[in-house]
Amino acid sequence: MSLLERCQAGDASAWNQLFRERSGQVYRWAVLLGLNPADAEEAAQEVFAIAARRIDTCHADDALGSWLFQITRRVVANVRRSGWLKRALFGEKPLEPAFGPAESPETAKEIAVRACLAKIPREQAEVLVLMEVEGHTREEVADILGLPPGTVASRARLGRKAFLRHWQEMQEAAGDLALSWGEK
Amino acid sequence: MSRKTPDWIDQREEARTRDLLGQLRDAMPPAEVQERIAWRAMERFERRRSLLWSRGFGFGLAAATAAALVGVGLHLWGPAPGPALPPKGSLHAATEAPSSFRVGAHEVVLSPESQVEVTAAEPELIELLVTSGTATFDVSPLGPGEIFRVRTEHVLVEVVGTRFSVQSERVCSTVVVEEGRVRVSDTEGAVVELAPNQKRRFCPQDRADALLREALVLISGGGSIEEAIELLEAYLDSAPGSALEEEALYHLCLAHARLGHAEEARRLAARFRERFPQSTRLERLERGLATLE
Repeated sequence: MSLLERCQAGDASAWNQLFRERSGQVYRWAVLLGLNPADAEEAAQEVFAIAARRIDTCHADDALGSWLFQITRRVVANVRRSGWLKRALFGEKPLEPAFGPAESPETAKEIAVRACLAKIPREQAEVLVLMEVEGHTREEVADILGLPPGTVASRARLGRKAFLRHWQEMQEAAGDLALSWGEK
Repeated sequence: MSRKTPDWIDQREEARTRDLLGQLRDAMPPAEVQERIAWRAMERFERRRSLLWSRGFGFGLAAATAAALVGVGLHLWGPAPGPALPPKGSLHAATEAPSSFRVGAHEVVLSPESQVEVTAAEPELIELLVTSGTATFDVSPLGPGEIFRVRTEHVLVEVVGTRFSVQSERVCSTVVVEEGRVRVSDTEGAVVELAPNQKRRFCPQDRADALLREALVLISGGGSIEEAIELLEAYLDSAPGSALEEEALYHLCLAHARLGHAEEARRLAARFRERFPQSTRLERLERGLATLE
């Protein structure tokens, strides 16, 4: 019996295995789609809670990853939506390290990459995460997101341009990104 | 008119992005975080399972007692039980394709990318919250004292009749009645009744203003200009002719200019000139647009 079938049958040990195998991946998606570490941890738990309720809607063992990604993107969107007021009042919180110890060069790069990802439109960020981080092909991403491959290619192209533009600006401006409309 | 980027530039950008983002391919949270997520998820899973089990056991026990007390005959010839209600707190979502679910005798159809939460599910009170997207409700005739209502962040829709849809957007909610009548209360306490084929959009002003504030925070704080554009467009869409329209239009125009969207920026500048010909911002707007030349 596959892991999916065992989960669908309500086998607790199968669920435990699924949670352990996928917790890191779901957390990584949530962080790369714009959540801070604490929210990403909460979101990952929410993703698994929804997965447990709706496991009957997943139809193949090898679709489990993409099915979890679809849940994750909706949960992340909900978390971001529910936090908009806080962001409007207090501004975006500075990014905290999500994967490694603070003060390491890798962490600085991780934060810079996440900051650039956070600045591009969400649908482009999703495509970039699936293609460049998760290593999926354009056709696989089209399948996961339910989009035509041409749309995926276009989002990837625009996403790359925007991402690199922000990366370039970040390198050049060294923290001085404030805009002064019409005066600059 | 957009120009096509040469393939070699696309390939170079692709390689560079892959190089930067690929570094996170194997990124994992610290072991204790993974452990905590898995452990809490398991805890929730077990709690839900025991809840379902105890409910099932409780229902079984109650049914057996009822059968013993009332008698099998009465049970067989008595009135048929009503259709089951979903549990309070349950979430129903449609992803890429529409989906539907039943709440007792009523049917809810979810458009793609929509989600509804059941916030009350009792025989006399059914309340649903449209958290995102659009849901259409086909409500069976209600008995005396029965309430069926639908909430969004912005409105409360109470069923007087039968078939209607509610769309929840970022700032506004739209209610469309197909059959029967509904009573809608907005966040300021105003109540309106909508008849068949009537459609009304509800946009609380404070929410719209918050959008504008959020956009300005993003712009002045070096945040995402794309996101600011989205917020400004949503603001202008939800609050046409408002006191802050000039402010929003001005920033929207310059945000597009900043991103190099020359055509869109010029179109918005023309709209700004037409709407606010006496504005003191016109001069600064022209200076901002001059950078597009």
